[in-house]
Amino acid sequence: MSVNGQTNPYRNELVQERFRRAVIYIALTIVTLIMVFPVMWMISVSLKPTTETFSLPPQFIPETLQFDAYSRVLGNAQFRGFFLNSYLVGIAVTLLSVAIGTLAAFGFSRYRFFGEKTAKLFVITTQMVPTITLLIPFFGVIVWLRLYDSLWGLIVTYLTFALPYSVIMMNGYLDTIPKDFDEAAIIDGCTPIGVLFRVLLPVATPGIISTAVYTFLLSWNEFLFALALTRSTEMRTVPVGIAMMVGEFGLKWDEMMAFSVLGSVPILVLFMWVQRYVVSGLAAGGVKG
Amino acid sequence: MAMEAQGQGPNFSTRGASLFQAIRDNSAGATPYLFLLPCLVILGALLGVPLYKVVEYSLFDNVIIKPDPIFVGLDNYSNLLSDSGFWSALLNTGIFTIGSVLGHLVVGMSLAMMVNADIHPRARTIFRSLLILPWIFTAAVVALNWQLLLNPFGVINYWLGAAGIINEPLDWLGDANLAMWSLLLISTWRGYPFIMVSFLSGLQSVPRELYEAAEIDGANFFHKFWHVTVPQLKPVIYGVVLLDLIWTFQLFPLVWLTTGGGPGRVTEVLSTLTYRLAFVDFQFSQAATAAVSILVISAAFTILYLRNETRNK
Amino acid sequence: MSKKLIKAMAVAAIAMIPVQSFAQTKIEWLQWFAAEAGADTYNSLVSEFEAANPDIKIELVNQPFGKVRESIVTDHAIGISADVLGLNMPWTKEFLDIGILAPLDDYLGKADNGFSKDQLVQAPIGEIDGHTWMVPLTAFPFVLHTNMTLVKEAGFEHPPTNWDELKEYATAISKLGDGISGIGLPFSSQPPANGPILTLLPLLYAHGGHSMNGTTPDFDNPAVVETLQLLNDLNASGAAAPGAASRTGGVDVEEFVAGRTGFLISPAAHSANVRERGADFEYAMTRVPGDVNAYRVHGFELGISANSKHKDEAWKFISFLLGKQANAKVAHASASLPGNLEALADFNTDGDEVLAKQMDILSNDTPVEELRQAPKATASWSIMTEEIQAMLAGNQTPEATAAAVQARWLELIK
Repeated sequence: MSVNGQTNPYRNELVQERFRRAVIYIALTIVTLIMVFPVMWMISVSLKPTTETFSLPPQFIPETLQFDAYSRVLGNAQFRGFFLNSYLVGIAVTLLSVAIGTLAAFGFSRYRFFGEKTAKLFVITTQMVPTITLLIPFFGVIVWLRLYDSLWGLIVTYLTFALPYSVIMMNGYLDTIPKDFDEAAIIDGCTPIGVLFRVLLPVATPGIISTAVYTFLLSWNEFLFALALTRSTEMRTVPVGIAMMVGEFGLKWDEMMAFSVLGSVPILVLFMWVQRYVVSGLAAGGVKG
Repeated sequence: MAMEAQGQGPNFSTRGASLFQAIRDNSAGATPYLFLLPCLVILGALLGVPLYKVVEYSLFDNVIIKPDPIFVGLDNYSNLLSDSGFWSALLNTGIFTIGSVLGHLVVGMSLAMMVNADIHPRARTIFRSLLILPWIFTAAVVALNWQLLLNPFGVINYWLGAAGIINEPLDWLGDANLAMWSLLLISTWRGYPFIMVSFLSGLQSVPRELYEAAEIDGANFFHKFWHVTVPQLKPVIYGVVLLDLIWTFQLFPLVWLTTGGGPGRVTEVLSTLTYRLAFVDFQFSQAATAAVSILVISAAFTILYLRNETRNK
Repeated sequence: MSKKLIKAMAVAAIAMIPVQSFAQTKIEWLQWFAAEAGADTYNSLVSEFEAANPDIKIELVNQPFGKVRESIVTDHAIGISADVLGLNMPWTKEFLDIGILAPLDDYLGKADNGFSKDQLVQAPIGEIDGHTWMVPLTAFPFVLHTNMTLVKEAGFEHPPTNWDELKEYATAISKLGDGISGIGLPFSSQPPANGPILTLLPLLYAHGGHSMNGTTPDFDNPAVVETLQLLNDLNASGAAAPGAASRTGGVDVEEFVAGRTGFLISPAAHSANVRERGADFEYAMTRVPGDVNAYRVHGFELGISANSKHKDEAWKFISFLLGKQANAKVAHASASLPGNLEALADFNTDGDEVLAKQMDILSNDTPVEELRQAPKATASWSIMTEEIQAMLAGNQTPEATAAAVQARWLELIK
């Protein structure tokens, strides 16, 4: 709260502040309801018989509330395996990509060196070819590396997709941290690694979290390679499981939505937990030296 | 331009050449390369060959479908460039990319500012978490769900009709005049959380004193945004916009699964064209050519962009 | 060269697969059937086969239907094709042009097959390029599904048997209330964009028409134009549900099941959806209305990869699946009829009128399947979809639509 209210009566300022907050609450509630509505619709579809999903007028609140779809999904060992695979791959990709990406981003952010721009361009270029055309040659590489039909194959694949994002994003976040910080640390006798770990990373925690969220969701949502690079049911991930519900002769609407909703709940909880660290790093990390 | 406007507070950004000097003196010349090494090795090892292959495919005819493709030089390129379908897809891609990125930026940044406001921490957590929901579903589900919502007898038409805004149900995804707009709506909804989360993280590194200094000078909300927030977050905005542009430029599953490029080809973008060439028509050489053209356009744009970024530093 | 490198990689990859200590041959069966319905049936059939053939191990590779065609091509390019392939007839010529399939003539001629060739549903085994490439696991006709409750409400007694009745009934049903339509025209571009297969071709065949002449497109003939005119009339008179250009096959089925459309032209297998969803109306299945008793035939087909190292074992498994008992089980699981008609003896309809009707159509009417011999079939029905969308939006006449499809199709296969 600002304390520059020397010229205004304190009370008046308080009322204004309250009013401002009320406006923010109302606006946020309205916007959130709009943005979340499609997801609420998904939940609604998952909770009613499909004939009701297609009835007229459209029923948002299910007339026949039923949890069949959820019990079918939860009772299916294969589906539980898909969840587990997706989370495992997602977490591995996130850890690797944030670690490797941050190192590279530190190099780009804090050094000027020969080939810098070419290296940066190469990193970004790898993201510029539509993945659908990369699929077949990439598939060949994965088979050659003997990573076909394994979770490692998926982890390595998503790492190549996520790394450039990690590098670019972390580079951006590190660039927002004033270089004065480094100087102070270097005067104290820190090595470059020390600067990165002891000074920059604590301040860049919000950036790391948003990069991690991005990386995890990239891996969580990916379908094309997940399908092509795995073969046995034991190696499939959630998006593949969802695609299996879209058949030649029918679509399991309620199950598909139930499956999506169930899969996203842990992510939401995880996000609620990590977003606590998305607070001012300058305040949290403090300035050393 | 506002981007070039000087921040009102102390300019923290980069002038400290002595700083680089200090770091450089402190370390061997190989240090930055060591930091980059793991990243470049992984990308090079896994994507080097496939990227090379795609370029090679574009110079041959009948790749993949025949055991002995023939070298045809740049024939595939002249075919592609003389195809009106390519140019209309390029135009659609331009509209889709710019529209989507603008949508993501406006919605994502506004929401980031709102959920960064000084409200109760628990409320903040709830709002922040709910607002990332569009991001955590796989594209197939997003597409099918929006098909339900936008169906002529779907809930959106029903409510708009009940509110008296429309008389007749609209075929949002099937009407040639509406399809692209609907797609932009879906793309904005799907893509804003990325910007919101990234921007929200960036906001945490803006020193509070800058806002306070601006307030003393009587700056209103928009002044503070343009003259404090934007200049401070320039590096983050640069990164986010670059990634979002590249990403949206070749976004495939959402478009393909929602409209399939239709009706007719009014929502056909380069990525769906590439897919169509590859897996509908089985013309893999021509698909590789389209892919390389996407690469060339993106790369040219990125070079310009990076140059501009360095100049602005 | 690129191809050689990929092949070398593939050979290396295959060489890496550890050789089992006892000489067991592992063969893969790539299909979407188990994901569709009755996964247990397929698993139990595999166990049954493995018990009888301890030297062969079957690996089920499940794929979502929408990706099977793509996966088969991708696997072939990398050189890791599954041995037994689940197939769809319209992909035949496309796959032959890439060299994906192995000819089955020799195998079909063998004396120890579990079935007799002339008892098979004939359409899939018809020769293309001088050979037979696939055999039918199951078969079913495209039919007209009718919501009799709506038909009766609109004042009629029976499902329509000709086009005039179809138009009349559909128009009358559309007037019953808001959100009720006579029929759906699912012409969305959203993949697989197969509206023409679902609606146009079955009506065309029941009209005695055709869209191809051998392997050459013949789309601008009078019968096609008349069928397009029928679709146009249904649309213009308001008999069809609004939003044809965004209507997917899936939504079309669901709205019928939810009682929102009077008629649905689609595979007979959809009768299972009506039953499973607990549709709340009187249901009837009849042949697609028209002047001749001809139906579009469809089903699950099986073939063998040209790259397969174990073609004999693959055939052994296929032969098992086509045997009377196994075939009847698969047909039950997939709500369709067996590809080996001999299995019909074991296929008790138990007074199920819907199955009886299917059997009646299947055994008395003329089956038609043209797309199997069509080069670039998938792209061709995308073209049909786009031109029909333009027609339904009022931008071109049926004649112009037929001509445009014909021109673009010829250009495509040039």
